[in-house]
Amino acid sequence: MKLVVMHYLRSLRERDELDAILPDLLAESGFEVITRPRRGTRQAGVDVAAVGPDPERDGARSLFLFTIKSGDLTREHWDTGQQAVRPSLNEILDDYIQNRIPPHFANLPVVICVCMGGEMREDVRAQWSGFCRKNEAAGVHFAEWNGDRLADLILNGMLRSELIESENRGLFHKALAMLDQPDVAYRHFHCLLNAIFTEPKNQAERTRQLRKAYLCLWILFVWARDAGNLEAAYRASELVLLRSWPHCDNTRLRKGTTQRERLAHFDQVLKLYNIIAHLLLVEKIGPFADKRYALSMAVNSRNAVDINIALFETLGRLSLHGLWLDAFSNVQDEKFAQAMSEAADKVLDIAIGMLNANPALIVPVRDDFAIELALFMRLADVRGRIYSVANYIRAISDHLCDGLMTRQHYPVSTMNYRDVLAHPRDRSDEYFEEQTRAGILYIFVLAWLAMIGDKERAERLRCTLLEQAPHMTHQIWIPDGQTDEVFWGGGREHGLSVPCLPVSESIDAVFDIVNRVIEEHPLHERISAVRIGLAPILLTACRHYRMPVPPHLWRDDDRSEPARTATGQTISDPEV
Amino acid sequence: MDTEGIPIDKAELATQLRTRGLLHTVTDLKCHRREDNYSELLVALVAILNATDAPSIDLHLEEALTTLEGPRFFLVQRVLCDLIPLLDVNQDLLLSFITRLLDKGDDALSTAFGEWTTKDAARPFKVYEAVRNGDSLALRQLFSVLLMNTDIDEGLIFALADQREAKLAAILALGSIELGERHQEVFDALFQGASSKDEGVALQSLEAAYRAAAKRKEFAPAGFGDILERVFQTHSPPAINLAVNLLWLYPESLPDDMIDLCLNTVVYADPGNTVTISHLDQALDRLVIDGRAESVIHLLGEVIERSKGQITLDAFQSTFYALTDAGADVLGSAIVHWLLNGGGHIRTSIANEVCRAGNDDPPFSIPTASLPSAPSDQLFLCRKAVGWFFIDPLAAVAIPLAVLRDGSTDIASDVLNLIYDPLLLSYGGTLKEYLERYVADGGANSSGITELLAQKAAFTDAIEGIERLVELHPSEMQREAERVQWNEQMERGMEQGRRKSILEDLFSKQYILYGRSSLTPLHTSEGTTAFTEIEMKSFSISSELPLLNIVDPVGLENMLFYFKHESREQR
Repeated sequence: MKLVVMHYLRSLRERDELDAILPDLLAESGFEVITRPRRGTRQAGVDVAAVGPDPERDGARSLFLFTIKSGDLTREHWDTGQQAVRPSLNEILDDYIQNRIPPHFANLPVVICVCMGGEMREDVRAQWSGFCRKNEAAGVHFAEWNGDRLADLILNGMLRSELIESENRGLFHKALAMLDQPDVAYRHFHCLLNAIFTEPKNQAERTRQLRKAYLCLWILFVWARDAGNLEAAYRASELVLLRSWPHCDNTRLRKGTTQRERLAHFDQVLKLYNIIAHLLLVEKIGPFADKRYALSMAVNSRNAVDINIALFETLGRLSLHGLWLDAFSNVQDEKFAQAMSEAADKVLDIAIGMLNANPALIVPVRDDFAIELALFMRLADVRGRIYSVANYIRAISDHLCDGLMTRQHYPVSTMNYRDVLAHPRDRSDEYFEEQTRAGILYIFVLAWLAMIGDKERAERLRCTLLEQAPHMTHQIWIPDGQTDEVFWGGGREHGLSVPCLPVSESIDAVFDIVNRVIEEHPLHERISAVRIGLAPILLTACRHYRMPVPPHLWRDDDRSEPARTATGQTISDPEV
Repeated sequence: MDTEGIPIDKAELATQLRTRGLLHTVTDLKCHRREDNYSELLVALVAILNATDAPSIDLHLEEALTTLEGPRFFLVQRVLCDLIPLLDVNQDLLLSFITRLLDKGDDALSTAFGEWTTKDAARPFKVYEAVRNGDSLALRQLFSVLLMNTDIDEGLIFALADQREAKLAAILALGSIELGERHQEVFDALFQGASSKDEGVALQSLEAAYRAAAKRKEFAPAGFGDILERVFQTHSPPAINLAVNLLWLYPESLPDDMIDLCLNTVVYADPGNTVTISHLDQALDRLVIDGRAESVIHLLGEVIERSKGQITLDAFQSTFYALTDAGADVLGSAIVHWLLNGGGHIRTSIANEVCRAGNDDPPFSIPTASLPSAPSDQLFLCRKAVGWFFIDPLAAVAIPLAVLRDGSTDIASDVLNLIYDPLLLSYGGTLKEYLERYVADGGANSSGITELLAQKAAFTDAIEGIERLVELHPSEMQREAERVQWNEQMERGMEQGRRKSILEDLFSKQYILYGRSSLTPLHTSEGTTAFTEIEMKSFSISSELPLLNIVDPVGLENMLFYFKHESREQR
């Protein structure tokens, strides 16, 4: 286990990455963290400041000032470069210790600690020793925390014995060993989280569980990054995010230390999720997105179904990432908001490029890909780019009509891979009716056609549905009182299905019902995340656990009613 | 009992004939003509059967017939056909014997009976007399008797008489007999028959006349042509059948206009009548060999379209091979004609014939003269070729390349686009290599093709690195499920292929599990066993899955559908 952790620590590529776990690590080891790392800046050479026992001096309570360096510390990093250690140490001596130590810690001995994920190389040790000898004074000491020491802290602190010694350690090992088979790795990681998130004795234990899950995700991610396959890490990151949410939801926590800790923790989880999503979707997939057929061919399958599934999955992930970035852009820090806004636009551009270069995305093979479409259309909507994607929804509608009429290439209501692969088995009435007995996709497309004002196309789709598949139960899904309790853990027994949408009557009649449902079952009353402006968490859950996106979220919150036809009286202001 | 190499025991043979009857005895003998003592055996049989106390030839006949099935009967029939002319038995008994055998056998038995009548001058007249007296068994043999006795006089009498069945048999015989100097007399009689209001008599007389003319290697007298024209206008199945037979069996008796008349008539052949269609295939095969490929190409298209897919080029394999043998240009012209003017059925059919996995070169070439002159038609032709032959890129590209070579330069850019998308984009193997060879050989518009190859290279370069996107790969479970489904499809395909193979019916199958050659024991006629060693060779055919069918199946399907079903511009 120590080797696993040490490999993880050594593989952390950026200083920020080690920053991300050190405070939690210290907290779990009995330290009081005074300052946490801030984005892009150091406080006079100090990345993290904490108060705790100094084992070198009989456990004397000391003020630890950490300066962090990723990987190994070498001669090149000692005096020059962006991560130079000596200038930071000098800053600590000259500035931090002199001017910035809070008065109530002023009497504590100071330990200036160089923290690194790897080890201090021999070629720099002489300089380090010389520097320490020269600057050591009464009450000012120097320490070296290398990967080996951090690994001990992790194993004895954050992970503790139950993860190290019980059978759960096997789950983690299996997840790491099977990274090239992401399904298997994810399954083991899922079991690991179940083992971690047991009923706690108190809130402190819950916090520890959350940190464990987060650290395991970090380790999994780093290993996955080294293995060149981020699939399991991405899926695990969504899972950790969702599993962590109810325990970090400030509407469920009393104000105080725990709430602050949890909020800070969730912020870390969200950051990690975004790091992984960015690396996978923007850096890795992004460059190929607008290359003709590139992503389709990257699926490396001779079967078009595999391509369809992989592309819609990617479209959903991209859209969700874009929606998170869009949510981050609603902060007060203008510079950060601007950066997030631009990043969201870039993600949307990647998604649009992907649509243009991969025509398979016009023909969803599964009905539940309505989830991915909902995420994508919402992203386009929140970014004010409906005009860029309106033709996409039109093309999907045309293909849906053709598919129903020819009984080929129409989406199936099952998610079972073998059934999707064999679809269509035949063109018999019996098979067709079985495969089109229910759906969420058609209503969603109808809604968007109405919202972009393409009444003619909407009517054509409606008529085709009535002629070819009058038996189909069109439906929408909305959360109920149980949803906020069980959805984050993957429960499926919650929410309300709304069937009996009067497609045979008129499009307006359908959306009158949908709008009434939205009005009478407001989402913010059901889902706290939505109430506090974090709708992407619910969207993440919908995508991850394959539940439909509620119609409340088909469009931007500011225009929360999803649909009025172009002839309807209110709301819709089609942006086409 | 096996006669091979064993002296014939006449007493034993006689006993056999008396106790088991002729048919059982011949069956048990398992004798063959090639055997040394075959003649001796025949003599022994004749001696016993022609004796005064001879056992009847139909002894235990019914019982023996029930045990003789298929090929075994025909082995016995051969011996009987050699034996019958040598017998000296009562005519009625022989007629009855032969008639019973004919239910299982073929016309060789009638021929044997005809030959039997030639052995004694009185015998044919006894048969004629029996026919006139209404003996149906004798009537059934009238044709053979007239033919074997070259009896033109009696043939004419029966042909001109009123007894319909005898008349038909006699007309048929007159068409088959060497007429010599009496041909005019016979043609007159046949003309009279051809003018009959009885369609059966008329058609029989017409066929007999053309048959007689063919035997004489001359055209039938002109008057028959007029009657033929009238008869063919009815489009009745017997008339169509006659047209098919004339083309198939007696084309040398038909002047050009009569051949055209027959071709115009056979268009209406009933696609469900496999015999007629098979005969038509033989007829068209001959016409192609005789240099009438163009007419045949037009006719095939019409026949297959009229059948609405009920028959395909599979039913015209002889003709198709004749067109192929006539040269790549002939087949190319046929394909151009069908793609330009044909309907969906002939196009489907030709696509099934020419598209093959593993082609290294286009299976046909396009002669300049076969291309339409209008640029819009040339482009239409290219789209049709791509639409229908997409599955075999070398077949699909042959026509666009021909248009680049000999067609209008105004559409060259459109044609190049078609070659790139969907063909070159889909196929990076054989087609790319073929186009590279094409450029190296200095083919027409090489610069355009070079640009396409560069475009393809740029496409491939742009996706370099996608192998790193392992996150998009299907899971192992999905791959396994897909493999299972693929294998099941392949097995079903192979099973269907095996069922359609003609080899399946001709040979017995053996599955060799181990080794690289087989050692098979062969039993020789000398009674020894020798081993023959057959070295086994592996063979395989590889084909390329078109990329677009995987990455954009619906888009490709729509594109090909449009190409296939687009109508030709009306001018």
